[in-house]
Amino acid sequence: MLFLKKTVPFLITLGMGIFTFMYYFMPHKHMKFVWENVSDWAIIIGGGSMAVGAISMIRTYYRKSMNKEDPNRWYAVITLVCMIGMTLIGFIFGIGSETLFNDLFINVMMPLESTMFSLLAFYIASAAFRSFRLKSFSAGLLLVAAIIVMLAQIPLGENISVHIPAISSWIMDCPNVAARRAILMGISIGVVATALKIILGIDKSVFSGAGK
Amino acid sequence: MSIENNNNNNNNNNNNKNKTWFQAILNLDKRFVYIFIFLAVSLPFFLDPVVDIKSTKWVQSAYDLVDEAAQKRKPIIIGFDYDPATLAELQPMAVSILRHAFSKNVKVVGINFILNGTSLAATTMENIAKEYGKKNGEDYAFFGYLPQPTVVLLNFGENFRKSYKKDYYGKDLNELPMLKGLQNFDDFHVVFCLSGTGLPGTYIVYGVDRFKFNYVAGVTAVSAADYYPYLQSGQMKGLLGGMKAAAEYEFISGKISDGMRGMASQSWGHITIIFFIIVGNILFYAKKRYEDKEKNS
Repeated sequence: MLFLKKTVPFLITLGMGIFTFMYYFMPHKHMKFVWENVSDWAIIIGGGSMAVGAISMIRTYYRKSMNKEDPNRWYAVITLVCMIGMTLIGFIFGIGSETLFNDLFINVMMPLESTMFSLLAFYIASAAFRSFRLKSFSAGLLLVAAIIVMLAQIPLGENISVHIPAISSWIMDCPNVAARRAILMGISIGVVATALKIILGIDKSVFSGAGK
Repeated sequence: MSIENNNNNNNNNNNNKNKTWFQAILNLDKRFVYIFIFLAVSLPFFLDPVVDIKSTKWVQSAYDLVDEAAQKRKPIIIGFDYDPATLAELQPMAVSILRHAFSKNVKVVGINFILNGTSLAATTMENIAKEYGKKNGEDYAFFGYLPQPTVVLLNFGENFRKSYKKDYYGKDLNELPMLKGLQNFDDFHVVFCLSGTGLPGTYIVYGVDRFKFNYVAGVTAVSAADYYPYLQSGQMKGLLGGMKAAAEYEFISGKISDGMRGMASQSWGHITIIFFIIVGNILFYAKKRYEDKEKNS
């Protein structure tokens, strides 16, 4: 079993990792042929993983909804009903424009999701009032930069002074780019190191049965 | 003695009052803050839209690329990679670009890597196309959703038909007249990716770096700072950051829409947050100074 759970996934990862890496830099015609088939499989597996996600979600929420001691179990019931309902509506009436599925998505899902995201504005305002303090020189720099960039993001900034958009632009183009580049380089090196560890089998925690 | 005691008591009472005053405001129930921000964002919707905006060079550059596409008679690609969560900022961009493209008879291909945004993208394309009398398959095409953006982008660089066999409506891509002679990124003048996720970066790594095409990202204001390094390196030709960029695009196009309408709300929202930052700090320092004085006395 360990062979199927660990060794086979490792060999597939090793082979595909090396192949994808080589294909990116050397798109030879023979490699192209393999890539075309492999890329189809990648898309199919990507689609299949959604089905796995859906099944996993149904199992988790079904268990939650059956737990009579859990006072929040009705949320799980609502989630399941909505999920199954939308799936059935999609299958029966289709998912194109001017269908019930699309109407539900546009008129229910969209306002709900937008509302959830808009809550950020309230949290930011509350945090700005309670936590954004000028306690040190670096905090002061952050505070001044934040106010300038926020003013530059609205037409009022230009009306107060033409220098506000210019200063904001400098903040974004120079200190921001320098910091972002450093972070990006760090992240990229980390990603390469992690990818190599997985491809070469040094890190096997991603394979099933890890830790057993 | 009794007079001194009375004076001390009076001072203590005043101090307690001051202390209560400071702390009362600093510990203001967050629901009051929420009411302030709610009013600041919602009331401006009833005001006239802001119509005087100066465009930044990166928005102008994005606009110019669509103009160039019209001159060269080349189609453009728009990646509608956003969902309802970031709709408020990204939808005005999508609408403005589509209106601009259709008004100049530029053909548009839409793609999507965010499942929740698929029908949103289709509806947006259909609605704007109707405004300009454009037809699906002739003037625009929507390929719909596919998972694995890295693979799809690599395939798109060679031939998009490798990944996309049919469009969103189930029609064979070879049957769509506007796609005749089109194969890969080279046949399109500019590629837009509108997203609040990390996808604009994926387009750069798996698309721009390898296939060298004109690329513009439209992102939420909060994530715009992440993409400035790509502007300096020339990997991105333009950047639309947040609703202000959408408003700027509308201003250049001369078509007032949701971007400009939302600017009043965004302006008052930002002013309210700046007000809270300043008031919070003034109160914090006043309280600190008062506490220091009390300690010394």
